[in-house]
Amino acid sequence: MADLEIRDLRVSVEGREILKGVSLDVSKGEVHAVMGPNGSGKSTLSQTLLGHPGYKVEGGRVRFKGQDILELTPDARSRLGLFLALQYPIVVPGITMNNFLRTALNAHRGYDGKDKSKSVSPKEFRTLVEPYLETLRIDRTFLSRYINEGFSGGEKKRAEILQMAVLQPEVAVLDETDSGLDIDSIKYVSEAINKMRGPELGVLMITHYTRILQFIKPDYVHVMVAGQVVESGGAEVADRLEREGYAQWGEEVA
Amino acid sequence: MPFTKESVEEIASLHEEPDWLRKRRREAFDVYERLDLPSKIDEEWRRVDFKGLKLDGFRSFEEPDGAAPGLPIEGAAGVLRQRGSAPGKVELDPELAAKGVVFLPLSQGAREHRDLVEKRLFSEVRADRDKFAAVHAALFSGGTLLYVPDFVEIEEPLVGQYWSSGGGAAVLPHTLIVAGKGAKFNYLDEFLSPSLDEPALTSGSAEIFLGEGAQVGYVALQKWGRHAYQFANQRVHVGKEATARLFNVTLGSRFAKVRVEANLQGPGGMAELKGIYFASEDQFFDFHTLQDHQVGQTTSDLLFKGALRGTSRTVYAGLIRIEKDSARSDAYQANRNLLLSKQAKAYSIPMLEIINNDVRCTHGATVGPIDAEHLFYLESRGIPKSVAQRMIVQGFFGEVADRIPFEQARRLVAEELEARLG
Amino acid sequence: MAVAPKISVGDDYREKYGFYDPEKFIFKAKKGLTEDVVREISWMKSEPEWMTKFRLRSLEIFRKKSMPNWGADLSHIDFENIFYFLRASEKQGKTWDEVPADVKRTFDRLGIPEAERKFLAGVSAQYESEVVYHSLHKELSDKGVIFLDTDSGLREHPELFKEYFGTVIPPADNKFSALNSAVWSGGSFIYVPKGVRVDIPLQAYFRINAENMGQFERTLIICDEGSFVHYIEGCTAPMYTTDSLHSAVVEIIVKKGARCRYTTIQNWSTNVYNLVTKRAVAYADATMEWVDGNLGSQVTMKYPSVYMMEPGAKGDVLSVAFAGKGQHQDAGAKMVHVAPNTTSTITSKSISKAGGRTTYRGLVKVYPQAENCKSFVKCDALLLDGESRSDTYPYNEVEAENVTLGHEATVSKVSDEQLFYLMSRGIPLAEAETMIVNGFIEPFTKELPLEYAVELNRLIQLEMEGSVG
Repeated sequence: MADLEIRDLRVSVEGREILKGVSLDVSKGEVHAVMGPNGSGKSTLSQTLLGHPGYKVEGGRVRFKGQDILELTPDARSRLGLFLALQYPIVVPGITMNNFLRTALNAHRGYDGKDKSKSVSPKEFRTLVEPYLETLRIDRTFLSRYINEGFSGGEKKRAEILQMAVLQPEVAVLDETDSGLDIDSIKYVSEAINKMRGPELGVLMITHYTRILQFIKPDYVHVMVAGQVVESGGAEVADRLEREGYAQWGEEVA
Repeated sequence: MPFTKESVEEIASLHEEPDWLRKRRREAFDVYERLDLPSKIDEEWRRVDFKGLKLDGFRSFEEPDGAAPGLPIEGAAGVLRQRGSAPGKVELDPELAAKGVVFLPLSQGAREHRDLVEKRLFSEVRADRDKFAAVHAALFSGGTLLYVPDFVEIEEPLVGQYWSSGGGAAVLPHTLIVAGKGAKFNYLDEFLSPSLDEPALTSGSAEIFLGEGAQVGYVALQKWGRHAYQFANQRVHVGKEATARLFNVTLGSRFAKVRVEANLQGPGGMAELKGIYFASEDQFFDFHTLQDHQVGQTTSDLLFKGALRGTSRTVYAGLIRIEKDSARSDAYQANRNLLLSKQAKAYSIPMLEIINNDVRCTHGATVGPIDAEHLFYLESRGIPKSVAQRMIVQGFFGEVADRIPFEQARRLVAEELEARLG
Repeated sequence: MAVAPKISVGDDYREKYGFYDPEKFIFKAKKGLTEDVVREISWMKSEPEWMTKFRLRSLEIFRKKSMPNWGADLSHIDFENIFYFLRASEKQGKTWDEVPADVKRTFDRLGIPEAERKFLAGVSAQYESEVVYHSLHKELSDKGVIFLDTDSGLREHPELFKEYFGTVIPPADNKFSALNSAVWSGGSFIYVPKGVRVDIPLQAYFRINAENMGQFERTLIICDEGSFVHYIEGCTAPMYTTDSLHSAVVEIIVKKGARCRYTTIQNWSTNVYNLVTKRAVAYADATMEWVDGNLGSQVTMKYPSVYMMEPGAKGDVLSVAFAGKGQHQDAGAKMVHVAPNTTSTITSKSISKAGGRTTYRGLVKVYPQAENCKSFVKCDALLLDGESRSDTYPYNEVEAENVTLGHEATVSKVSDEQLFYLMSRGIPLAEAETMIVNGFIEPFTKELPLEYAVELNRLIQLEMEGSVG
């Protein structure tokens, strides 16, 4: 049984069905790429996996580590070991990155403000964060800035990966982390992800372009069109996509 | 001479009004007699200066003297011309009449279409709002009824023109517009008179009712002479999924106290309230606007822009009100003032009262002079200062003038502004 | 998900601030407001005759003035059912040991001596009507800084006092300034000499203990040319079933090139009517900053003002209001540009929850001679649920040339997207909401000394947990 099991998932947004029965399996140690044209439902899939309130599950199920998660709130899913790097990370004013990361980490450790032994110490926090600051080429001062406020597009995406590094998920969903990135940023992000890659991490990488796949080699590639997975295979699927585009599945190249 | 019960009877007779309407005038007159003039203690009237206004100094109606201006726009689908206090004369495209469109002087409308008029007239613009609303309801001099039946769409705008040529009288036209379900049309009211010595009391009130899905554009162009004291209430009742676009242009009169209000009563309803004012010399304008979100899923968008010259003074005070159950409402309100002289004074009071948290509300206000950087930039390109200033003022108004609901009115307002900037 | 501990706001307040001591007093004027009561207060304080007259004249004005016909509902205030003066201690303590044991216990519980040790240059603690403890670092008194309770200020510096007292806020300014002028007692009197900078804050702590008590402190701050001072006040009271009235008057004079910052963390219990008049005049190139946090009280009506009298003056108001169940915070600011080339900013943040109501009410007035002024006002309101209410009433009056005035306001709820983002990182709903609210008021918090910022965040957290639990 896979760590993350998606079965026949159907999801609607504002009454319109976007996912029309999606099934996927992601286990730790594997890297999956989900590719598809704009509007195929890729982002709907990622947002639904973390329980965004704007997405309504009409049918199917999602199991993570054997547990049905569709009824869980987003924070519970996160603490269970799921992670989502947002396509458009949003600004949250007045909260520093530092505070944000530490609060999240404490929540993951079950620290409720009482038992100090569960809280992350400043020293431990530094040892967790610093190697990735370096890999992602993020300046330290960045931690005292407010969440995503005044960050460039690339900085926002790199900050997402930094959060992933700190929270150490079992399965990470990366929603178009490569889009809008300059080539340097793609390299840094890939480097960080490759550094985390290993038997303890599963990755579901959602992307429109094959570019990032040169840096992060997927074990499996799935093609999603019009709310369904139309083809699954190994890296060769991406190569074919690179040559022929989405047209072969009846879609215009977007 | 003070307004009297007799003047109420006289004006009702002049317009051959039915008994129910005559009765309503009498009731409004009672309210008029009962109410005091608004006091400065009342926040709405605190900054209003009606010195020089003597309510008992006006004749209660004006005989037309035969003078007549040209029409503001060409190719209108229907035109109502009213001179002084006499009943108006109507021309309407016969095709529209055949489709059931009713376009009549208000009194005739009250006689022939009681079902349309009786329950609506002065229901949105209530006589007991203040003493001026009461005198308007008691002594309104004619006006217009426009009814557009369900799903009738009218391509060309309809026009009401009110002309006053004598000073010293009360000239109080009232526009009543009823849009059936899915009806779609534009309407222009033009109020004008030459500037005279003797003061006049004028209005130019409108009640506009939009049925489900109706789309109505309404432009009020006020060019009363500088002798006029204007008290007007323009209020739109917006039904489900309907879209109202009200545009107020205030250029004339010595004094104007105008309320522009949207009563959002149906989900999906949208009201756009926009305004332009250009005050010069000793003009005083006071605008009170209301975006009243009585139900949820309603939208309102307000922008009033004004320029001030001479010793003019303007007050803008607007309120967005979101009622307790009006979730998912979206409201915007902005007032921008351009001060073009040392002595001009602009007061801006954008207010919010929000009793529901599932809403988006934003408002803003600015008061300032022409941006020196902008002026310099234009001058540095060889444009003389006076031309540059004019261009900047035009640009200032341009942002909102583009939102005038229909092309003919856009052109008309552009010409009016140009004439004043010239 | 983790469930936030259930703490009702009321209970927590009771535990931390809401306790009360059995009422003990040396002297308590009889209930109600009469000429005799006013004379008695003045006599008890052995005041000069001019002050007695000033008080009696103010009482006359108070009687003539009508209640404000705008703002919050004040119809439940019964002026006859209030104690206007209560002396709790025979003499003022210079050390904690001199303070009566029960009063000392109160301030110990509120953490005042601890705060003083840690980071304050001077402390004043007012209990009921009068200041019971007072201290100022010697180094500052050597430099000529005066920091006294206002009664002592009148006694010890009569000339300086008389020169400024009542000049910024005359008794006739409004009904409550008249009331305060008639029955004032306690408060702080501060003088900072030319060029002296008081780098660490001075603090006053105000405590109402007795039931039906009215507290009417009067503060007068004079910043001489080129000086700087930061004054902080905090206020709490026990929860009684009947209402208390707090009606202070604060007058500040900021002379040429000086800067004054006045920080308030108002956390009265929710049975207190808090009706305060605060005003500063700022002269050439002077800066006045009001940092005003309103968390407690049943009703607050308070609009700190800055009158910019000479070119280069600057006014700044930064305020936060939090209204929970049964609370109405009607707060704001007044910026009056009398002179040219003056600038002002107002930043207001308000949060309403559980049926609470916040009102921003502000005035920016630019007089005709005040050319080349700039003013910017920003109001943001957060509504945490569907029962609460937010109002914004900004009055902008421009009568001069070349003025740039801007006003912006938004009203919103906690954004679903922001909540989702934080929760997707494992942070539970209640905590995520609290973080967002604390982030919302961060521009305010970051202006507070660290200890206060921590305390404020904690208060917000408690209020928030109360709402979710």
